[in-house]
Amino acid sequence: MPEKIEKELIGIVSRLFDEGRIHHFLGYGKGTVKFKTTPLIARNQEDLRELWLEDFCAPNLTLYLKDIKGQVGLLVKGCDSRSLVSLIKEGQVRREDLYVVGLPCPGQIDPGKVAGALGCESEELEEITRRGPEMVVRVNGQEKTLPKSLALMDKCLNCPYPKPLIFDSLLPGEYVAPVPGATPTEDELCRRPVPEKWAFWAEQFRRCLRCYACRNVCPACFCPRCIVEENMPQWVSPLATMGDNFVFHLLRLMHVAGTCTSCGECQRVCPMGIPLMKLNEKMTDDLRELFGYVAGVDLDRPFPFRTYRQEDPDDFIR
Amino acid sequence: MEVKPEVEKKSKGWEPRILAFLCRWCSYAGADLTGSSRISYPPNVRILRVPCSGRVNPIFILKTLRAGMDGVLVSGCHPGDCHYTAGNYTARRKFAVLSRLLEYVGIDPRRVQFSWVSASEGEKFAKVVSEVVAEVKALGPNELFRLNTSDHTAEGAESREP
Amino acid sequence: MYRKIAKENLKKWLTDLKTQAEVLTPAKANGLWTYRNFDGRDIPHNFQNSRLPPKGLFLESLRALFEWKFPGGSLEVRPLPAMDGLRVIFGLRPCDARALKILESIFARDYPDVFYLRNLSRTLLLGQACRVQCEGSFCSEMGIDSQDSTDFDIFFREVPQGYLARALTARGNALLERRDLFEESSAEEWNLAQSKPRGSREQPLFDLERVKAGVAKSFPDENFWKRFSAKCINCGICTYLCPTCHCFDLCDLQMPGQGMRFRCWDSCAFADFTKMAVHNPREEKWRRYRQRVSHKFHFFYQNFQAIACVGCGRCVGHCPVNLDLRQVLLEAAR
Repeated sequence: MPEKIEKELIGIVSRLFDEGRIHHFLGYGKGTVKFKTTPLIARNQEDLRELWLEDFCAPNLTLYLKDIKGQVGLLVKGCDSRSLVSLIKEGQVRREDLYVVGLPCPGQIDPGKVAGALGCESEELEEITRRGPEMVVRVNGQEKTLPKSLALMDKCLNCPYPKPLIFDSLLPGEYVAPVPGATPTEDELCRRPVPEKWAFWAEQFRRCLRCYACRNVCPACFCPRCIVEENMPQWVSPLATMGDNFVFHLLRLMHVAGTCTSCGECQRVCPMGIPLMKLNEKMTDDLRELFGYVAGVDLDRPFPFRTYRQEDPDDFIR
Repeated sequence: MEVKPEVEKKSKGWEPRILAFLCRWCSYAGADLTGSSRISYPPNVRILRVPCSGRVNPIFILKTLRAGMDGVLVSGCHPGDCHYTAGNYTARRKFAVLSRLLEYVGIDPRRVQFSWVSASEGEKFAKVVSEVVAEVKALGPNELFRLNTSDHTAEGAESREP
Repeated sequence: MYRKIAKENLKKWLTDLKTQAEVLTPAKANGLWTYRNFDGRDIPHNFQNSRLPPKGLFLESLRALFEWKFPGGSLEVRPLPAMDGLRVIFGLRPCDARALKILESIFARDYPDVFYLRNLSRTLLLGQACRVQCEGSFCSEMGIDSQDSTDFDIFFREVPQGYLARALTARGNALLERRDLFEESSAEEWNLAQSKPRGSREQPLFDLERVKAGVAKSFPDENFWKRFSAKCINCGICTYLCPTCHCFDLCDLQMPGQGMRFRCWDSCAFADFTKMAVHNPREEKWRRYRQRVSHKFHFFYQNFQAIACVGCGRCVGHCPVNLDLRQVLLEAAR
């Protein structure tokens, strides 16, 4: 992102602070490790000096609207803006309290995918820079190139809403375009027989640590007290056994159904690399197929489980 | 669906245990009618009365499977007849989604079934139970993620590893 | 005792050890580095460190302690045995081995923890010098030498022809008594093979003494802790990936007619870690973060004369919001 755009943003936000329009601004700061930015929670103009928007702006900043209430300004990419729509619909934030700055997103880089494509370890990647339709990657001192489609996160390859759906100001910049020839890999797991599906997911949920990073990073998970933390009665055991992990993840998915916009943060932060997006995408596909519902797009469309139609699918019921 | 040899062995003498969530106004009354009409139905079903099928939170179903029950049945009023007007409509949506999700993660959808049974449908309730019990019996015991004392390794410990 | 061994012979040695012990070596599983049963192949050259710390092999993430049954109305309680069987772990790193030493203060001193100690006593720790400085790590600042460590039974250094080995304990000495595979070596040869890991810093990041003093002094500074912890999302990644973190919870699994009590990992970062019936003394996020850092760099040192951090860098590398402990320590040291 060119420096002048950062300056433009700082100008906008400084004014907002000056006018007392906001008391916090959520942006991105330069990460202290490779290929990451850090969420920047700026409380004044001085904090804005740490703003850094060059690349790797993957985190979904709407997450902090759970904690930081009132007049808040924030940066949203297309996917983040959908989380914002969901949060407004859920009554968790008021639109008029927020100052939303739209951030064009050229697609987020997935270092794990880059390493996989180049046949090296993630730790061996030194630098990743964009150059037109390619990524230039420095590995062990050598420069290699990679088509964009192999480097971007899966969710970005066919981003349905690159332009933020809500904003007060929109920064200029490049938007991710559908990458030619890169169809989102159809989840071939869907076509496998039931016992194979079980074998796959049992292996994944066996690995889950119950660190709750997926739940805590999720903007759709805003319950002040999660049902998992309840122990009178204990609905979900806190023990990270395969079976209880199943219950936790399926339950969480059902609870966020309709609010979850497949922003992908859960999968990005999971320390064990569990493919949680497969579950979200399945849910998203089902809600669209069954009820024509897409989360985080229409402020006026009621949530799928708070409304109904006479003609809703009924054939699975005796 | 192939029946594994162990299941066949267990089938001789093994009976599935099914938990049925019945809505108080229709299905529970319907089940009651089945009894008072002296209609026989398989005894494998334990009944849990809820005010409305819409009361059934997905956690109930998941916890039932976790507790080791072999099947779950949720039954409510026919669409349009819900005592709370729309409870069964939203339930219908939730169950449609949950059913697909369960299948996606490898839980046979025949283990978790749904029905509309009205207060006057004593015979239907018996039929539904018979069919559900037969289908669950054919699937065999729920060994998927039932809670038991070998939830850890045989020696009693599990070190989390990728 | 110093020895050396050719690469092929090392593999043979490990294969032979499998007849008497479980032998674990670095391997990739599900895309992540871990320690798995040695499969006879070359020790992976590009292994830096495991995602999960090897502490999980000693303080298991899930540990059944005892079980009970109610046959016919009476109560039977049966303690469950600790794991048994000789175990050899090859390829451990100096930071993780130091962490195991630090954990002995918790599990061996005031109250001997039979499960942890049995795991420790049945395991032979074979370490390997690091070739690369892990991202986010600050092991040398924490007093750990990535090239030499005495916290193992045997420490290995990779050389072009194979490995140099330095036995540090009697058990280590005994293992090296394979004259057919190991050749004699010397302290001189050992010292000659010293090398700096790729990516290591020229200057130390901080002075540990200043950090300790700074963390202690910063305790009452609410704003300091609020500023750094603002972006924390209170997950357990830093705790679960940390080789020295050891907090655990006890949880019962009650089933009809029987039950078990488990010990499982817990994290002070969780919002309800200190929640009690009436009150949660660490309700606010900044209190929890203050406690986390102060415990490691101040209270633990006061109690056990060791800092409960080995600078492995896992928390820095995998924190979802890039909350960098190094930044906190640097600021505290100022």
